[in-house]
Amino acid sequence: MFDLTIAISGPAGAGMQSISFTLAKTFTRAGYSAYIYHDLMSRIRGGNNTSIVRLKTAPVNSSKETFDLLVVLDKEAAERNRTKVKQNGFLVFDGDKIAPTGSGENLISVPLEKLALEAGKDKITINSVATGAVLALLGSKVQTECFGVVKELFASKGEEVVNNNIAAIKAGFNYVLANYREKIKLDIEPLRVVRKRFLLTGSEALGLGAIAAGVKFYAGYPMSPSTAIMEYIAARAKEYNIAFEQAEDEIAAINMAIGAGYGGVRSMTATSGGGFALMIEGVSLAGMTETPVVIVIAQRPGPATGFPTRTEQGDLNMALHAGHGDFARVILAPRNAAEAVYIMSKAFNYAEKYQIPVIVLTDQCFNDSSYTVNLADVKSEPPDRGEFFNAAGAEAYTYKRYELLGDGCISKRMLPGTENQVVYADSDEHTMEGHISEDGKFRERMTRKRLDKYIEIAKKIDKPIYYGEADPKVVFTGWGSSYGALREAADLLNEKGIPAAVLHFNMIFPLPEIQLPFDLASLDAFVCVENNVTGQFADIFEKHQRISFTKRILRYDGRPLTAEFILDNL
Amino acid sequence: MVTKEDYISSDPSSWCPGCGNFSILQALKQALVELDLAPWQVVMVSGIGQAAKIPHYLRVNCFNGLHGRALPAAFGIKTVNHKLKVIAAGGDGDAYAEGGNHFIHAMRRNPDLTYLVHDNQIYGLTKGQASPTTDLGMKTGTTPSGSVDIPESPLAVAVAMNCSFVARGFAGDIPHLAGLIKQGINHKGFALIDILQPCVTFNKINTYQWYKDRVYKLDGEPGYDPSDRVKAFEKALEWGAKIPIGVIYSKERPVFEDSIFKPGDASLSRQPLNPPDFVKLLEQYL
Repeated sequence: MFDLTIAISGPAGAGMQSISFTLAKTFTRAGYSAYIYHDLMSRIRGGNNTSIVRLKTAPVNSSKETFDLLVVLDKEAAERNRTKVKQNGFLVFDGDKIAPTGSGENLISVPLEKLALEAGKDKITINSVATGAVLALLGSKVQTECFGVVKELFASKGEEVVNNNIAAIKAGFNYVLANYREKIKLDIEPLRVVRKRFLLTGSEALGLGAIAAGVKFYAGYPMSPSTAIMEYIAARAKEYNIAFEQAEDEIAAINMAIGAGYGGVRSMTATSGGGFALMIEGVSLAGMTETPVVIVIAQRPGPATGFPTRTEQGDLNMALHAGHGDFARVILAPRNAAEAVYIMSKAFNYAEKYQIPVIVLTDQCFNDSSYTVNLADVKSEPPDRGEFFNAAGAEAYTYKRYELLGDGCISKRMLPGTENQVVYADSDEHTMEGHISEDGKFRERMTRKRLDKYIEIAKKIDKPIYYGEADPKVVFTGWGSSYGALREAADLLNEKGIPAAVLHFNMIFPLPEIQLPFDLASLDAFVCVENNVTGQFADIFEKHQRISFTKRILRYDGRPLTAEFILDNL
Repeated sequence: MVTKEDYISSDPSSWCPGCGNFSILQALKQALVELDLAPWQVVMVSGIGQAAKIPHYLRVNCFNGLHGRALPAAFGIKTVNHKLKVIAAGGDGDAYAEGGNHFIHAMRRNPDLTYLVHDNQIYGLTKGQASPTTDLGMKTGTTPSGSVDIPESPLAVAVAMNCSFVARGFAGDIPHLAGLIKQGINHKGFALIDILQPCVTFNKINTYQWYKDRVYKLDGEPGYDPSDRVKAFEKALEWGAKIPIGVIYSKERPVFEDSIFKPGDASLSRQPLNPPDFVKLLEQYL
């Protein structure tokens, strides 16, 4: 059993992502679980970025504050991150370039550039030299897997580039063996892998989930950290017959998506908080016209431009209250990449079955992070498109888009272009036919029809996950991407002999009716843990469940929740 | 055969008596009937304003969305139903103020849409404020000392954006307007028809008579070639003593839908959902 954290730090563009990806992919293939969090600055070159890779025997879905091994690619990286290396950890650096301070036994000087030029025949293979050095220090015997990853990574650049990088990996590996063999304490053999395993980011999982759910129309405007979803769909639009367009702004994007939803296909858009702010009138339009649409909000810290490349769960209140007037909506938040596929299938089903806007709330930490995903953990719900009007036997031009069919019933949909029928959708208050109406009594019935959908939805919505001890003293509650960190915090408490558990939600609104799976009175601490300043979910949950948390642990420095942060603040 | 009766709507009109919108509605119905399009084959998309109520007053598929956002919604509808005729409609505030950005980008995108802009140079539904096409010096509820912002020339903007079809109609000449609408619908590509529409309640300057004294038909202009973009730009800028109506500019180029569909392809909305298995999509991440 091992649980290792390896950080690679340097100026933007220096290859941290390539090293971290190679390591995570290698260990995924070798049968372990990996997770990569990217701590990024908002720039294209320079500054200091750090990619943090966790490698673990058991599944891992969260980052760590301290590192077992730190590779620094320049002086600034060393200065910024030096103190995060654990007591018995390693600091890998190019001794020909920099001389970081620290205890001698931690310092691993590797002539990265020299070896890159000699073995890799190009300075750019520094990344591969560093990868080799890391593999050696971990005492890992996963070179075969690593060479396979590198072959695929550089396949498009030709055989020579592949061979140079493999030679560079070997050079880094052998240099460490020759000079620091006595410091290598670990011995990691590849596991016999029985299940299919994948490494993908949260954004990729969302895009993948959307395509697997049958999305046929995507319009969006680039905004970090949502853009990778857009690019995922764009790259596959031809193959899967998806209409894709980069809109002039987010207002256009959501109105296009709503048009396509009215037109009869599964349609979506994705953005971040600022872009969603522009979409809000459109959310209201979807509510009023009862048009299905799925909107992903990949949150980043606000207000305004905020921390463009960092993480927060600060837009829940906006998602919950987005749009003037009252109408039903659903808000979902996947816990990890594997679950994103299921969440997207649910999102499109809720949108079409109930003819409502559905919001999928993620965050930078979720979207940009890479997760090892076991095939066995991926599921999806089969498409449910709701009820359609049967035009075949109907009298010509008798369809009523907003027909009141009784309490809890949803009007049947019909596609425009259905022979001898027309469909009127209207953003004004409307009659059952969809024409503008000024009738007060009718307005009341239509308002209830639109709003009460959430009551039907709440009856069948997924319950939260309860993980941990049956008789806990401490319960952590949270939502969305924080699941990995909360589980780990509970595990650590349990190891210390403090019974702990996690109550974690991915269906955020409407909240399911639940019986608490523990005795509230015997808890020492009932804690809501969130990546925002006020505890936005805590407010909703307390109101819904009519109970109070004893404590809120809130992180709002733009960095993701970790088990260490939670326990330090308990 | 489709008749005008097929297009009768059950919804009573809320326009002022004498409003230019009635003439536009009449011309539109005439065009649809002459093109032998059945109501179910047509989708009208509009924003908000008096003009944007037009889809309710004839029997067609309708998406009456948000102020300024008719074109993005129309684009989404057309893209997934490329076999339907999609007509967007709205006023000058809807099209050129709130929807200005979408107007520009729709012309770049060039979907096969027809856009009818009922241009009365004033805000009607909000009861008489200046619009982007209000003439300089005109007094309105929001320009009590006269408008100081120079009016937009939507046709010149359209020609500058290389809009595929640019025309101006006049609500006071229904047969001519019906002809333009027919041409716009038949034109493959984004067709803008800016329609001079007298507002009998709030615009006491640009009246029926004011327009009648100024408009002349380009159709009768010897040697005018609507495919000449430079000449078209000159015509688009002509405003004052003489105002041209007719086709200002017309040049077909590939439409957005051509980038997705081959001739004969079923509409996206008519294709079975049939999504790929996530296991197949996951393969690349092994």
